[in-house]
Amino acid sequence: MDLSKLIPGTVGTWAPVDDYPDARYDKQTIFDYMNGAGEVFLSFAYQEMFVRYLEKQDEQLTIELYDMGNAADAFGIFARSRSGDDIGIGQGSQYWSGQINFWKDRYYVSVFTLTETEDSKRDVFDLARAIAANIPDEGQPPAILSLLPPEDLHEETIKYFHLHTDLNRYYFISDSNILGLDSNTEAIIANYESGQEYRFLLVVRYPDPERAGEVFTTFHDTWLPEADEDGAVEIEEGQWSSAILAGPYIISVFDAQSAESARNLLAATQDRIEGVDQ
Amino acid sequence: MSDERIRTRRDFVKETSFGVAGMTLGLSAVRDGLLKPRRNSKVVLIRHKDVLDDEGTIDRAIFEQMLDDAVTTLFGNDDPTACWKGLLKPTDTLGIKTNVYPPLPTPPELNEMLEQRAMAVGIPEEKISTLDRGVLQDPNFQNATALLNARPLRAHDWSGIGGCIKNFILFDRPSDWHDDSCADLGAIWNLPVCKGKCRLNILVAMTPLFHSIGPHRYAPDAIWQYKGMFVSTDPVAVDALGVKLMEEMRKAFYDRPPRGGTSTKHVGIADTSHGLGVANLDEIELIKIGWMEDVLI
Repeated sequence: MDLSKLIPGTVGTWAPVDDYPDARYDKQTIFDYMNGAGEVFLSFAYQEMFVRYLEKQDEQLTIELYDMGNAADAFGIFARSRSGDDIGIGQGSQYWSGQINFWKDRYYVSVFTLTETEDSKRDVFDLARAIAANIPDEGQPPAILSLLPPEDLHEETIKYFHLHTDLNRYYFISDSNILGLDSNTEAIIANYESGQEYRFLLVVRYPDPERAGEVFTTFHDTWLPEADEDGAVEIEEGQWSSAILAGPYIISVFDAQSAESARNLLAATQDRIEGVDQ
Repeated sequence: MSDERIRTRRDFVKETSFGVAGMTLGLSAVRDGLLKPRRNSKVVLIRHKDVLDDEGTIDRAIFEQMLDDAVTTLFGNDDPTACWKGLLKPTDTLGIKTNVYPPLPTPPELNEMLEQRAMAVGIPEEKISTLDRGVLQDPNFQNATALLNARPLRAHDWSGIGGCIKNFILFDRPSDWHDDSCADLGAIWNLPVCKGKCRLNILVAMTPLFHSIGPHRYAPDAIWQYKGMFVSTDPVAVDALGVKLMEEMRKAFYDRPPRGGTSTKHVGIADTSHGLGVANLDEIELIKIGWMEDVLI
């Protein structure tokens, strides 16, 4: 699809900026647009982006459309930085400080102005809704999300990713890739909040159970070598971790306040895995 | 997987009280006295409530006085000229590493002030370059015997904090340093082009960007008129305090501060793995002067 066709022909009284024509950036040139931040998109199945600059008097508005290759990765890039309430655009959206980000199907969209006024805010919303309407289909969110037990889940913290570098952004485990994450793995990490406890649940799906088993041995020997048969270890004072292998999945809990809390969350996740067709 | 020893979060917890994920800066081990402070690094935080007007315009005279007060406090000498002469020599070739991020650049006034102080020491104007991009192509940076490092504090989607450590990324090809959320940025400082040359770090906190959503984003709502700057010879220490300040600003600003993102671990790793400076707040001597309202740290 030609990404530019998702943008309405006219956008209120906003007009193109003469000095900044429309631009497209592929996997090789994305760094020209956003320097090092391009790595964030390349950690997913990013294909290309289209950017259009608009202006009205002294105000500027920018539209960025990203083809993320598939719906799961469109969700992944959106979830990476979401916070706050959903504003009901596309399949997931947020507004903050003049900026709307949303995802729909395989597309991630960002519409923003640096000068937030009532008028510009209205225009940003209208534009985002129009772009969402021009994306004909909805996509499937990552199926692995269904494995997260709902109790105590802090939904806006759910992250979906593939690579070790992204895991380390959300929860640092090791400077080495001891979970064997690569473009063929799918991973989610989310926070479970209950009282003063703030647990992290990590679920990684490998291409097959054999690969998961190989990685689990390395991971367990490195991360939890002293684990007893119940499997939980107090990593820091009052912060327990545990991990299990379940078919093609490795499930691990971090920062639980007790061994029992870690084990309960693992068990709840394992129950959900056993409830789906692997 | 390499043959090098695998280091995990557990190793960092044992070795340092700096939170390896960058979300906390003081772990229970230090609070409980299990680890004893072993080093010392001095940072001056100076603030002035009138250095900015409501529009964010800098009062140059106040800013000048803040810079002088910061260096005299840092070096324990009442004469700012003497302090600068202790930092720079007339024979130095000087690079002033600045930052040009359009919405939040290093204040031009600060660049000029640093140039003026260097010239007052006796460095010829033609031996001074003030640059962000293009430092590797600039003769003065190529031949620099001294560097000054000045940039604003801001949240950064990929490295957690845009601070003094990261400001040297342009001394190499930036994409080579983005791996693992820029974890090893501190190693840049060991490249020959800059190793041992930086005499002073100024982390400008006039209007810090304390939160951002998405890559390369600026949000006016997340700007705090803090009206200060951190000054030190230790780039890690100023960044560690910058991390802490942004964290406190998020706590103050949000009913429910965002959690779980924006790892700043490169600051801790610059200390523990690269020996660039001190990241442990318990080992940093923070001297706060000037305006103290909502100082937060």
